Amino acid sequence: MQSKGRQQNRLRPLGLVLLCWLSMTVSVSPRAEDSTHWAFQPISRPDLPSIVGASARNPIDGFIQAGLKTRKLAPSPPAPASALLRRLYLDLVGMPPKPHEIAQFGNNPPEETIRKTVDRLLASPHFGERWALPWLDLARYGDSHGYERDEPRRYAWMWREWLINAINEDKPYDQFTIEQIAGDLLPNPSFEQILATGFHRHSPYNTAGGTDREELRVNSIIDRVNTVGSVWLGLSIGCAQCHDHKYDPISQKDYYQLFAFFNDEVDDSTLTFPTTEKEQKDYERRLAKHGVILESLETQFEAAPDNQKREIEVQIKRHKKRTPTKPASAADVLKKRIEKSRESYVFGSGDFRNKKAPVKAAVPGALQFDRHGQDSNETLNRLDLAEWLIDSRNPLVARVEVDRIWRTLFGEGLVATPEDFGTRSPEPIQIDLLDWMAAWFVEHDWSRKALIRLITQSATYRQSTTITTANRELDETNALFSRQNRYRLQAELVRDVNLATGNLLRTESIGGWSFRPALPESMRNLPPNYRWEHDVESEWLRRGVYLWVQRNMIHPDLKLFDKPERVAACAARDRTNTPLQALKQWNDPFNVPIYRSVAQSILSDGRPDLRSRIETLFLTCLSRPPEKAEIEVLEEQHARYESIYRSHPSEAKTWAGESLEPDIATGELATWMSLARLVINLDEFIMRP
Amino acid sequence: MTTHEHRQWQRESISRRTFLSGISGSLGAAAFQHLLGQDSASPLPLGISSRALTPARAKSCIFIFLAGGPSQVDMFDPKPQLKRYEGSQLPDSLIENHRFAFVKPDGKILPSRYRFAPHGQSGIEVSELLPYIAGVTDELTVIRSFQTDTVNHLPGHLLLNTGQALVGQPSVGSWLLYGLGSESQNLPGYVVLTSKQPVRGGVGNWSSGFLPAQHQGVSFLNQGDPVLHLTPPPGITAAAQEASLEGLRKLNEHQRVATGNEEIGARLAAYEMAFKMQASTPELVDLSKESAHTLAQYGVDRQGKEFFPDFVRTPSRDIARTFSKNCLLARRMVERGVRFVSLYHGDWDQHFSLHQDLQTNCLGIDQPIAALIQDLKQRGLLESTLVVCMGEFGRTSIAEGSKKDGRGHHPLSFSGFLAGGGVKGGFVHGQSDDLAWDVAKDPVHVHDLHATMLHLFGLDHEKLTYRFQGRDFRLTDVYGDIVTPILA
Repeated sequence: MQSKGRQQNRLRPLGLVLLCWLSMTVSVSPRAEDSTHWAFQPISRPDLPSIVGASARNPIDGFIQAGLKTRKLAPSPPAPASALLRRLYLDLVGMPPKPHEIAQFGNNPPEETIRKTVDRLLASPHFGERWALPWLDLARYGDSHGYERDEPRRYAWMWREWLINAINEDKPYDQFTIEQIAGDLLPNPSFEQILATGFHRHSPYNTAGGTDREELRVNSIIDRVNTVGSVWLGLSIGCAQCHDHKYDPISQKDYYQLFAFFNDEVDDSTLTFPTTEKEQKDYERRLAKHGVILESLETQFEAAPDNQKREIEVQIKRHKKRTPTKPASAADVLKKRIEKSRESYVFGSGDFRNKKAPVKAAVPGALQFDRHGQDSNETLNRLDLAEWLIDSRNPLVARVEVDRIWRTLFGEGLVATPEDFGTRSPEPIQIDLLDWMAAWFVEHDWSRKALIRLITQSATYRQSTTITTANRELDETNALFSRQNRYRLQAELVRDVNLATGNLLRTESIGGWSFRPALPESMRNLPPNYRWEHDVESEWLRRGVYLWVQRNMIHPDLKLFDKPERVAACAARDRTNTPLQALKQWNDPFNVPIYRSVAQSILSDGRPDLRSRIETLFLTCLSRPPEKAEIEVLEEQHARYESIYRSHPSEAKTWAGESLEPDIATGELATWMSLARLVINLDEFIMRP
Repeated sequence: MTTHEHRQWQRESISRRTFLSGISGSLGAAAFQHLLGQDSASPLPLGISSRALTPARAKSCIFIFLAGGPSQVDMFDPKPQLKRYEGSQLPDSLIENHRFAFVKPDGKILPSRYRFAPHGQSGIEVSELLPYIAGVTDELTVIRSFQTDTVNHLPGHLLLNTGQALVGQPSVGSWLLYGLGSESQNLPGYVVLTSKQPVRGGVGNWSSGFLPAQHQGVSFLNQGDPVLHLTPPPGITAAAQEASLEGLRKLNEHQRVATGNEEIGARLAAYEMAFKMQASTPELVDLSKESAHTLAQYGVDRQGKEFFPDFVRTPSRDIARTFSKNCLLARRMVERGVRFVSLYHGDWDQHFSLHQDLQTNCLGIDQPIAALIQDLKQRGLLESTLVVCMGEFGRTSIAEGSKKDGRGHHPLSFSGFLAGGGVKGGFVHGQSDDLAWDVAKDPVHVHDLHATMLHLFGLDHEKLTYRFQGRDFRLTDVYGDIVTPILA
């Protein structure tokens, strides 16, 4: 069904579209000689390596093991089943497995069990929430305008909902691209296809006084061009805004030809939605409150002596101006202007006031792949741009996306410079694997789920993360993928995993508006003059992907763990390790209910002996049983906490609260909460194994 | 490229961000060193070429940001000629290509109503609004020829803080931390103190941008714990916290050995540092050990009634006291090895009500800034501490608004001062024209200031680079000249 719908949506046969470009960009690319660069070569499917080790499970392993052979290095053994299961859960749905799911998976699962688990996770609606994260970074998604005033963007989340749905239904990447670049230009576009163009409306926008409107409009387009360059082409084309690109074959003229694709839009087009129930209720509440105040002012007016009436009248007038407006949900989208079209120019030194030669929309000269057309004066639009991106001859788009999928499943990409596939990006060691997967991806209808399934079936993916002496000596940076990588989870997932471990994460609704958890009082005043108003507590327990993105004040819980500022496309997040992160994980009272919940479930599950309880604690928090040495440490800690809380009963009560179950003594609860806190603060807890 | 070459390449030329955030085995030690902010055997953080280093004069910086654009003609830049032209318009030649924000080009010239007099041995003139700072002029290099590129606040803030009028760029403090690391073992290397007033652009001003996030300024909170989550949750006794740390040590160490993953050691180091911060940060912000003399010198508890009746309005007094406290905290941080302290004060955006607000603001900052400079000097810290005090731009010499009690934004020439850290004392650099409109002599662009600051810290602004999105970025972009005449 997917692919059929897709064909219908294509406006014109590809060939015809491609014919047009020749005439548009007669200028020769500035660095044609750079066309030997690996990433600019057409993608052809390389032959599979002839010699493959016994442990190889699919072609991916063939390529990886061929590389290892050159260093006389063997692949790492498979990870223990418990680690594999936690890995799959974190990678595919961003949440840890529950203890009963660990039990079902077993210690030595047959291949069929693993496959079924992968299929089940790929089909889970939480898959879309997990895989939306990297795309939200690329789309520089935010819930506020940014810049000085940083006012809220109340309906940005509607596009995010589109994104999550698109990923969940495995919308083929080519169609996914077309809809976001030019969904509005498809014939009879559906509501969702128009909504998809909201991708371009995440540009930061300066609403402060004293700013030049035309400059703002131009800045938004520049942001769009740069973002498309980074996201689909993996090129830093933004450099060409002011001058020909120093390294890549993008001239300044090329840049403004791309600019022209986006220069002919209605300034502020929105797509109206039916109002949600919450909004309607909010509105009614605010209206009622407004009415009460108005009434009291009017009463005051009646009672006031004449010399004060004037002042109250002014107040009443002012208050009436603030009558709440009826909610209308409207998502920002792109829409082409119908009347006369705007001319585009090269801007000298990138300054919008300095108009040089006029240009027409066209793709970069050096990246055209069909020069055998006839002259045409047809004007190209965004749909043509999208078609060019997803043409099977485009060398960059599939490589960039395949590398991203790999990166999400290994923590590092095959390409060392995810933000730059240009001429300064060295050829990846596994170029054959990258190309093979890119070709495979396109042949398999650009299905991300299919590629993810393929990768998770490989022995390479399932390797252990343990670093042996041989690993360290021969593949220190793991550039050869002689093992799996162990790395810190993304900010949102750190939050999710914490809440999920305490069984507190609310996962029932997929999508929806952004929520605001509490902020410390001293951080709540946001410039210039409004406050961070948090939502009701039950909202705070939703997944991190839905947490409100205030651009000038990324919520500290996420900022601490490197959530990017969301002002420009971000291809790979930092993974820092700071004392402030430790303080957050260790001391935040927000985590106390998690410890309580874990402790309570352990104490009430009927296995009273210390060892089985320690085992349950490990399974709940780390998805694995403890090792002997770990049990010993836990036993020791248990005794210490027990004695601390025995001699400090009032602290025990403060820490653990009133025990909800009559059978559980406060001191015992306090002790087990401390043990839960200990395990949840281990390095391993926030690592993807 | 062979595997070996690739590895070499990865080691040598891949960006430092990728390096530190990577998963490779060799990173533990580096990350560990970095976390502790210690200089390792090789004093250079990864990725910094030794070429970027020159002899350093300054070890710490206190940057006092007077946000909103303080009026230089009322504070640091005496312009007696304005009196002659009072009420007339600026000549067309001056305003032809100028971009105005809010103020109208036909505004009338408004001379300062404040008296300027020479002070100290150097005889530097400052206005009567700043009687305390007048007492330390011999320690200052006053610059009367600052220039910036933008007429609006946020881009101005960002340009002054990050070298670019764009969001998402690393701030000066982050660059310094990236280049030099921190000297404090139990405090963050870059701390931001606000005066209970929101700062335009918020975190964007002290962001680490594309540099690793540990170089981001840590904004101390004005209420409760100065750092988030500094206190263990209620009911966790000191003994329980220490027991936890010990448990973490044993369990993490077990995994480190079992898996060969050195990064686990770095995580433990972060917890050890966090544990130390739990003690060191409250000690830092506890002023009870400071003498009554010092507290009074900074005006931490001042009443402020004596100057202007308006000053007793609680918010302004609260802001003034907070700023006093922040100046004192800045000195305490410098003593404890914090690399960069950023102090915010303001709103100095006097489009209207110029006189009342200017008087209140000056009263707020004058005493504590002078106290800070004297205190640093007395403790022998001024030599190695660079103090910078300025706004994102200045204000026009023409009036804004019909009441002639306001001034507009002015980026073409404005004033500020530097002290300590290897700059001259009792020195004036640069000159604006008679109408305080443009620079008459020795312009100092914000980029030049940045180049000079890095130079004072022993860093070459052209060589301190970071690879991001395929490009080598610098604090000074492609600009910046060191202002050599002000170097001591």
